[in-house]
Parts: sequence; structure tokens; C-alpha cells
Amino acid sequence: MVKKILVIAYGTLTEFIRNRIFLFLIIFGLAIGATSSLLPAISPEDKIKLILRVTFTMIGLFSTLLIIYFIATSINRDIEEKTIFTVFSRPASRFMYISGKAIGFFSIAFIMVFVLSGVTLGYLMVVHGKGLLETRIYKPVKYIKGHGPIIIGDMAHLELASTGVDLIGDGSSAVWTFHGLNRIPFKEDKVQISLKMGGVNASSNAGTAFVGIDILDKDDKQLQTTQYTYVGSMNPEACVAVDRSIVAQNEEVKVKVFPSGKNFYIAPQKNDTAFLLRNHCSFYSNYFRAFGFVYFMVSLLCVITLSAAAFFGQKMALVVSFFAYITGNTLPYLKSFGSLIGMKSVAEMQSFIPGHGHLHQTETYSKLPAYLTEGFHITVVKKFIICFSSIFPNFKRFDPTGYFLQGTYIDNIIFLQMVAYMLFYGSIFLSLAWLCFWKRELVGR
Amino acid sequence: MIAQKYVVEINNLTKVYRNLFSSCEVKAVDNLSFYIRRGEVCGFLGPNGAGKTTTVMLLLGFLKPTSGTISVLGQKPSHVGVKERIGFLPEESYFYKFFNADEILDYYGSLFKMESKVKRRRIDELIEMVGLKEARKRRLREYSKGMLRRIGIAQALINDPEFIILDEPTSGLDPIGTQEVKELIINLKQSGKTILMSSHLLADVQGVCDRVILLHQGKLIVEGPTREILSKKGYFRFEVQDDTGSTREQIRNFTEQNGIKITSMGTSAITLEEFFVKSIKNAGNNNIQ
Ligand SMILES: Nc1ncnc2c1ncn2[C@@H]1O[C@H](COP(=O)(O)OP(=O)(O)OP(=O)(O)O)[C@@H](O)[C@H]1O
Ligand SMILES: [Mg+2]
Repeated sequence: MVKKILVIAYGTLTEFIRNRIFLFLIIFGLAIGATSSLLPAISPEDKIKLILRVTFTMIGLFSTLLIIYFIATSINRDIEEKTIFTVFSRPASRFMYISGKAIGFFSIAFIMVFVLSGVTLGYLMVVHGKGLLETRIYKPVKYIKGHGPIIIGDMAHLELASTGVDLIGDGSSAVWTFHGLNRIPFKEDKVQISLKMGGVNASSNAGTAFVGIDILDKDDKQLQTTQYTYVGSMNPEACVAVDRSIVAQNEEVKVKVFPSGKNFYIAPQKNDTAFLLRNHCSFYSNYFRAFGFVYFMVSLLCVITLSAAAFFGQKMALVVSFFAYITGNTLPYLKSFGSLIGMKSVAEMQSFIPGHGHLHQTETYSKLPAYLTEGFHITVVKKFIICFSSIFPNFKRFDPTGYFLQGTYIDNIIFLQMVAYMLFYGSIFLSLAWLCFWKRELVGR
Repeated sequence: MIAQKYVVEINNLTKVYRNLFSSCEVKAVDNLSFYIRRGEVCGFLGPNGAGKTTTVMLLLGFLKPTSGTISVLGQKPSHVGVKERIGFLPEESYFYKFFNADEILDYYGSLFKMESKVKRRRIDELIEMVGLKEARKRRLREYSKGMLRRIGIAQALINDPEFIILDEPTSGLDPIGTQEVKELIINLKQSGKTILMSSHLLADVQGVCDRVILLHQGKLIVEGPTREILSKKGYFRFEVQDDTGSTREQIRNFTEQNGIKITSMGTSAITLEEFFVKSIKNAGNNNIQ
């Protein structure tokens, strides 16, 4: 049985490779690398970060679109052109067919992401070779308010407490206060501090905002010159390098982040966090993990599209898969949207999103008619949206660009978490595909 | 394993096509019953839309019968294992066209329990047999209709099946191809295979089929051994060599004197088909480029 499944997978792979799409991939990879080099940046290191951000987003997007299209057409072409009968007139079951197709699609996804990221990495190595080696990827230290820093090896990004942040209006700033940094045995000359912020509202520059960062002592005296950096407007994290001597001499250090321009705001949230980045690791090992993230996302989309194509015709399968893709990428927004529905007071909203007040929409909210804020139907809609956004896999989780922008290491735990996440949803959708295909009529639909 | 007497048993088979979005229904097969004995070549005839292809699809389990029962080699059509022993040539040549001839045979062959050495040998034999030796490395996308038909026949035989279903095997084939297919079918029959062959080219069926089943609008109209169905009782046919140029007169005189009635007479001619085959064979090289 395994042999037959592999034969079907091989057929699927051959179909893909003999398509012209393959050449197109390489050209596209080069194009991504070349165009992302055109982005303006303040320093070579920032430039590389920006390029990585853009390339990985593009690789994810492009592979996804291509694979969705390929899968939806591949299965339905087999059915419509009746090629599938030449398989089912042999001792091959529907289970084998779907499994073989799935394995074929996984391999195609791998080749696609591999070629694309390989070409862009190659491009980066040629054009920014030295910069890449100098790009430092830091391993984070957890900092908890009231507790101070805890060094926990490679672990980060787990559940972190707030670090005591003040707030803001238009063009204002966010301040993180750290105690006891001088007790940490930092290994580098520069201590990297990474700040994770709830909301940065940016008029877009490739989806990034430009911020300035000041380091202050407890009397608000500036300890080093202002540094500027980009932060992504989705999952924004700002990273600043502080001299080790400054950290070593001050028990209390404040980090102040302010937008450099009028077009955006910083709105810290109650679960905003900070990391201290200790020693660094190689750029390439992080690149490898980021590649893994994108591949996981594309494979997950493979099974989703497969189960859609196992049930629907081509057009419907395309629509459903794109819907899943878009939904999966907007889940965080959808969830907070669901939570906001029915809230009536600004206080309630601010407890959900601190800093919401800067939107000056207090009056609009109070004027909302009652049928939009209360009643059974509102509860139903609210519950529905929240439930709905919990069922679909959240593709934003697979976005590695934040790690690059911020220069942090994707550590083993996060990586394994993502593997588990992918396997969980993957097996659900694969079972769904088997189930849908089990009883499908192959003629006259 | 006991060899069943019947390779196919179909009882009261009915298939109705329903459209999801409209109320129109098509009764493609209507209360059909027939048997195919082991070792016979059975011709499946009928005008366009008679339900031949539908019956074949039902036989292979691609469609579910609306009512009635089917047994193929003693199993249900949906049984996966029974396909080991069946070969199928579909009505249209819908194969994976991104493969070449070699690869497609290898692909389908790999879906069977077959040693790869045996498989390789069979691929070579079959490609030689269908005359595609020189085109074996070309993608099927570039094939002509008849070439696709030929590779279709090869793929149907890759597993050395004991029951072979051929849905219009000669459609799109040139007269030589047609003749070769007929010869092939006769050879297969001699090696003990059972064959179901659908067609509406009656000339193709006549020479090779032991028995014919005639369908019309999904119903069985006639069924029986070919020779019995076609024989015209009480009539004879002669072909006479005319050396002197007056043989015709002599025969006419003789018959008139003895009161024998001649119902038809004409000049002997070969058919266009025979002429075509002879001319091309004289021109040599039978492989398709
Ligand atoms: N997928 C389908 N959906 C609806 N009706 C169908 C479908 N396939 C076939 N039919 C109908 O079933 C009937 C029988 O068709 P079938 O293809 O079995 O005929 P056939 O005997 O093979 O004809 P031909 O000699 O033209 O190949 C026809 O009336 C046809 O319109
Ligand atoms: Mg037909």
C-alpha cells in the first residue's frame, strides 16, 4: 500500500515539475530579492532585516497562492478529465489516492518554499554577504514585572507579564522601566533590549513604522543618543542596543519608545512585554527555522485545500481555500473584533485594549443604537465570531518575519510548538479530506 | 481459487443519472441482465447514448447502480483487490499527458503487485506490440488520437489481466491499427482471456466477437452468438474465378436451366480497408514516429 501511495505522490510531483511553473519560481525568487533591496533603510543591518521581512512574507504569499491553485486544479482536473478512472481501474483505493496526492503536494510545497527561499538567500549572500554574517540573532531573557529578569536559556515568547507601561496619545511615547539589569551576566558589549508592543498604528512603509528609542536613567536623564528603528505594525517589536557599561552602572533603566513622525501612534497593551537579549547565534540557523515556519504554513494550506478539493469542484475549492487563507491571516483581528462587539463603555474597551482612547471615538460609541450593543442576537454574533476564530488555524503564528525584524532566535520550544500546531490541524484536515472523498460521486457533478 | 464460470454477472441493473440542480433524469441503463462466460469475447453494441459506457463504469465501480446487482470475477465492482485481474481501456484517452509512453506504463504498472523486472519486460513488449517504439520517449501531450489509443491498449494489458474491458478500442485508429487490434483480441482470446469490447463499428466486432449484446436506450435488445445472429438461413455466397471471360454467362445458363434463383451478383472487389492495409504494408516500416 505504501508503495502505491508513493507512486501516486510521484505522479503528482512529476505533474508539477513538468509544468512551466517551476522556472517561474526561480525568476520570482530573484525578483523578490531584487525588489526588496530597493527598500530604504537606515543601516545595513536594518536593511537586511527589512529584506528578510519582505522576502519571507512574499515567499509565504506566493507559495500559498500557487499551491492552492495547483491543488484545486489537480484534483478536479483528474475528475473532470476522468484521468482518475485510470487510477481507480487499478487496485488503488480512494484512501491511497488522497494520501498519495497529499504526500505529492507536501513535496511540491517543500520544493517551492525551498527554491524560493534558497534563491532569495543566495541573492542576499551575493549582495549583502558580509552583512549577513554580521547580522546578530539574539537569544532572549525573560523579564517579569516585580520579579526582574530571569535567564531561562532559549525560552522566550511564552506567557509574559506586563512590565509597567505608561500611556500615550497621538505622537506620544511608551516607557518600559527595568530594575536589576545590572545583575545579569551579559556576554556581549551591547545589551539588546526588545520591546513587544500591543498596537502600533502605522501609515505603512512595507507594513512597518519608524520609531525612536531613548535610554534614560531614573531621573529621566538621557544615557545614550537616540536610536531609530523600524517596527512591524503587526506584532510590533522594537529592538535597541544599549552599551553594557550603561546597564551595569544603573539599577534602574528606562526605555522610551516614541514614534518618529505624525502618522502613527503607539498604544501599549496590558500584556506588552520586554526581552533582554543575551548571547547571539548564527543567522543561518535562524533562517533555516524561518524556512520551516513558512513551510509549515504552506503544508497546512495544502491539506486545507486538499480537503476542499476533495469535496467541491474547482472553483468552489479555490474560493473555500482562499477564504481559509485570508481568515487564518486575520484571526487576531477577528478575535479582538469579536470581543469588542457589544462593549458599551470606553472603560470597558480600554481594559481590553489600553490606549484605545487615542482614537477619540468615545462619542461615536455612546451613540450606537441599543440593537447594536445588546440583546440576544449580539451575544450570538459575538460568540459566533469568537468561536469561529478559534476553530481555524491562525496563520499569523507561522509568520517568522517578526523574529527577523527584531533579531531574535526562534528557539527550539517555539519551533516544536509550531510543529505540533501544524500536525494537529494538518491531521484534522487530512482526515476531513479522506472523509469527503470517500463517498464522492466521480461522474456528473 | 475456483475459476467461476461467469466472469461478469449482471442482474436487473438500472442506472439513473440525476442532476443536482435540475429535475431532469436520464435512465442510462434500464433493467439490464447479462452474463459473460470465462474465455469468450463479448461484443457490446448499441447506438450513441445506448448506455455502453455507463455499464462499463458500473462494472468497474466508478458509478453506483441505482438498483440491481453486479459481480465481476466473483466480487463487487468496488472491491479494490479484484482490479489486480482487470484491464481497462477507457472510451476516451484520458491519461496523464505529462508522462511519456514508457513512464505512463511504468506508472500504471506500479499500481499492481508486480516485480519491477517483469514490469520492465512487459513495458518493452507492449510498446513494441502497439508500434510506438520510436515515440516511446515523447510526452503523451504530443500524441495523435490514434497513438493515444494505442498506448491506451498497452496500458490496459500491463498487468496481464484475465478480464479485459475495452471501450471502443478501435475508435481513432487507422485501418492497420484496427486490424492489429482485431488480431490482438483474437490472440488474447487464444491465451484464455475474457474480453468485453464495446463498439458501434460493427465490422470490427463481427470478425472477433463470439457473442454480441445489443443495447438500445439502456435496454437489452438482442443477445446471442455472433454466427447465429448473422447467418441468413437458406442463402449461399460464391466467389468465382473468371479465366475465359464467359464464366458469368455459363453460370447464368446453368442456373436458369436448373431452376436455381440467384438473388444478387456483381464484380468481385476488395474492400477499401483491405486495399489500404495492403498498400501501406507494401510501403514498409510500420512504426509510428
Ligand atoms: N455524467 C452523466 N450525467 C448525466 N447523464 C449522462 C452522463 N453520462 C452519460 N449520460 C447519459 O447516459 C446515456 C448513456 O450514455 P453512455 O455514455 O453510456 O452511452 P454510450 O452507449 O457509451 O454511447 P457512445 O456510443 O456515444 O459512447 C446517455 O443518454 C447520456 O446522455
Ligand atoms: Mg460510450
